[in-house]
Amino acid sequence: MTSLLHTLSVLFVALSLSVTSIADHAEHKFYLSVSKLNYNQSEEAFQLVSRVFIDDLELALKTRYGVDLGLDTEAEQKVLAQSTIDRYLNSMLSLRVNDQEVALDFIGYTYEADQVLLLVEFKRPDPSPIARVEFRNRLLTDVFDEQQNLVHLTVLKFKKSSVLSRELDTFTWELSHL
Amino acid sequence: MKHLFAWFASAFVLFSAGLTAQEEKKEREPGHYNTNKFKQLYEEFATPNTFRSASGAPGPDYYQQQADYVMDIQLDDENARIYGEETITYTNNSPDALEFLWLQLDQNVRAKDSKAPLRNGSGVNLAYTPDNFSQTFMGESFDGGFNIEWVKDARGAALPHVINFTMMRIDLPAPLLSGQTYSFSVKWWYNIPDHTVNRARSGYEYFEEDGNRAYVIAQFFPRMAVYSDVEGWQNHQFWGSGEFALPFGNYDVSITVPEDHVLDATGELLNRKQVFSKEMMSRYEKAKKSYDEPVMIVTQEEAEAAEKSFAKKTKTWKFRAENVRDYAFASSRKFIWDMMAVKIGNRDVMAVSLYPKEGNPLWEEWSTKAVASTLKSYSSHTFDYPYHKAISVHAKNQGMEYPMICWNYGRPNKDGTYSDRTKFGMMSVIIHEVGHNFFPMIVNSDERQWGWMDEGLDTFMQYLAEQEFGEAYPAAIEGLDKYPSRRGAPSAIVDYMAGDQSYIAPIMSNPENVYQLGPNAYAKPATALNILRETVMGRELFDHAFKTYAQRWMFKHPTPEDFFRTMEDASAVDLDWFWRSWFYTTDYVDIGVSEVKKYYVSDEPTAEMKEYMAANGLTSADLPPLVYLADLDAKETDTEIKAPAEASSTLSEFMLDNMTEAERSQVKQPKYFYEIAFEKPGGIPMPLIVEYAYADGTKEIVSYPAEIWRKNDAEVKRVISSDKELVGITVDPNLETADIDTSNNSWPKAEEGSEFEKLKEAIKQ
Repeated sequence: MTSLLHTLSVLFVALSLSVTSIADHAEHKFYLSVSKLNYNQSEEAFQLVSRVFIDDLELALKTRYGVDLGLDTEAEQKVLAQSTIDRYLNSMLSLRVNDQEVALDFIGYTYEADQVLLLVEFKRPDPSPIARVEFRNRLLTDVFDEQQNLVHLTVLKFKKSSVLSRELDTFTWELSHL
Repeated sequence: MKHLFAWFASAFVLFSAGLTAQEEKKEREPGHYNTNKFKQLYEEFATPNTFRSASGAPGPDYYQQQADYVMDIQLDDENARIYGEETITYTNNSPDALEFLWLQLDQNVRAKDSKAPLRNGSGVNLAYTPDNFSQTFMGESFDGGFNIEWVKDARGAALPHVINFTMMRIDLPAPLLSGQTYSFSVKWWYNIPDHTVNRARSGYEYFEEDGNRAYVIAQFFPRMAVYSDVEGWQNHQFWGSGEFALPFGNYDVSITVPEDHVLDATGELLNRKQVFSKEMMSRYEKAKKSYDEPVMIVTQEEAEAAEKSFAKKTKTWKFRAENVRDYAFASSRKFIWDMMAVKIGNRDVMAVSLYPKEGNPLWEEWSTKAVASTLKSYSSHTFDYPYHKAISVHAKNQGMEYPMICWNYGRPNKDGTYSDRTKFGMMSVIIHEVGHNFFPMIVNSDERQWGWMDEGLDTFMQYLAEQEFGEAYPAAIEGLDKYPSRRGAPSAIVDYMAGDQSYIAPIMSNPENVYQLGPNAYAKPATALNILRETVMGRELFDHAFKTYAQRWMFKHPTPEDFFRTMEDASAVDLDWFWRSWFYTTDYVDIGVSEVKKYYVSDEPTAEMKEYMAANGLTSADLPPLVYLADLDAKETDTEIKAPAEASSTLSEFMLDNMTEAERSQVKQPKYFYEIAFEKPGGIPMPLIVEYAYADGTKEIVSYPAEIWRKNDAEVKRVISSDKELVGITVDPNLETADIDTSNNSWPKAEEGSEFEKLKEAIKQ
């Protein structure tokens, strides 16, 4: 029951924020994140750097988990922030390589102006040749209907970019499609 | 001798053409149009005419319409409604006769039957709260459209009118001829929306704790659409993203609000003595002479007392605004009010702030100073701010501009603490919105059609103004060495320009039809202008041309071409290639170094030369004395590299015959020769900026103009000679060009660790 109640309260906040925007302000917030996902062959790992606005992440964490982390302030709760972001990323990001789920390892975060940089590593259990990569990125689409997540993927010499959203949250790259 | 001369001429062509004679003849290719990136923009640009000159200045027949308004406005605070009666006097300065007039009814975007919510595709949500479900599928939506009670001519007779969504056509009894003036009146009212729930540009915020509303009211009256030489009647509806296109005019406005409200608006306050208390009057007189610190006109204590009064009586504030393109006001009993004077040229302008106590302590400290600093910065790059005041109003989540007045976000936490982000967010939005007074309130571009013309230019200027604000008020950026601007730096636009092409639109797109309005209309044009200023044109040429544009089009309606043409006209820099690639396409910058070949001076014909001689039946006896540059990597013996005169007896003899001893001692004797190939996978031609690093530790930056790509858009070679060995080459060493892929920017290839590894290291420490 607690969990259901929790889910509903999250939904409520998410939905009440999700009124379709019919007005864009002259200098309003644009809901955009940029992620770079690169395959590091020597580490046999996909390495991700995601840039999101600090305010947006803070709001998402507050909405989902009811925590006030004071990110990038003197009052920042570093240990709690690390575990809360870890939990959030585990719900919002996933990577499948050759149809196998690869475990997510949240390395940590750092700041750059008004953005927070999230570092995630997906270490592959085996070094089989990569034929297919599916990256699901739902970051902040739970709280902002307008959220757009730009993804740049590099696998060896191949590069591909896409814009993900609430409706289209998964990015697929296949060797056979080249 | 004649023979020798002919031989030299053919050899010259041969060498510079790079030995293509042996290439196999390909199948004959079809011809093509001129697709050169440096081709002039005759097809993209409208043909200049007598309204708009080829120079980019207004032409001899340039005209613009005038719309003057007399308005009587009533704010019904209890019911959150606004009522108005307006008389519009419209002057037709065009050469055309007008059979009808078009007005804009922007509030109809929130009418019950508005098509605006229907213009986007939508998917089914994962789940709906009952509240959201009923609102979406069962309920009555908020009715915020205009209720037009009547439209009458000057004699009081009803005028036929037709409403089409956010526009209203008034059919005139007889065409309005060129030079004629027509007056008519409209009575209207509408329900004011809560701008905090639906992101409206205007409306109220309700404060539950004290039961008050703070109103920021704009696009609230039926406004004349623009009629011009480029569009005729502006006929793009207001769908939400494309902002406004409005003619200039004079406004006489009376606004009636509860008597305990504090109000400010576009225009000069005519009855200050009636609406101000004696105390406020004396504070105001003091503020007019205070150039360093704002003076409180209404203190926080007074505002907090007013929060409880809920007056039933009303008070009327009277304003007159001249030569403005729009009108807006803010009103609440919660407002704190401060002002200070700022010298612009030889005039005093008032910098003003209105904010509820929820904005403090941030707003009392920085808002008015940010306004003053912005007016100074923008004035120095454009023209002296011509109005008598500029007001910054604090409204939650807002960032919106009107003549002399704007709404800005930036609210501290309940306990009064705030983060640097909140502080810089607030300062930046104030600088941006106050800056909009210049673009588009005075340089009055058509926002409905071209969002970038005001947003891009304003965001570019914002960057300069933010830096200057940081310099003027070091306390505002305490702990930093400069103001942390978010946009403007070339590297900041790379992620956008490197993105998926199917989700990028050219800057020259309508704001309704782009995927990401922020990078498209704000960041990319601002970055492009910054690059023009810093890298392509240089500050002196750019600043003069930019100022020329602002002054030519001050209080007029420019088009994109007027901007593009003026920037070239006033600088003598042909920028058609720059406008084409940055503004008309979604091309990106990617330039790199692809190959470096080393050469040494030799008397011996090179292998290629020998091949050529054999093919043409020449022997060394047929050749005049020649000097060769031979491939160093093919050199068999590992002998020391000598100076040219030592390595080549031909050259040495030539020098003895043609130069005095003194001259010979002066000439350069480069020992190292390199042929460097630069590649350009990106579509945008940009200056090729190259840093050459030498063995002795010295470095030299050479900037080849963008025109280096004019004959070959994919690759270009340069030969470098030096008396020092070349050890490294870096393209765009200072990241000035927004190069989206720097992995090909250096020779030898730099094995730099990935961003991920660097950040990981940094986090662990």
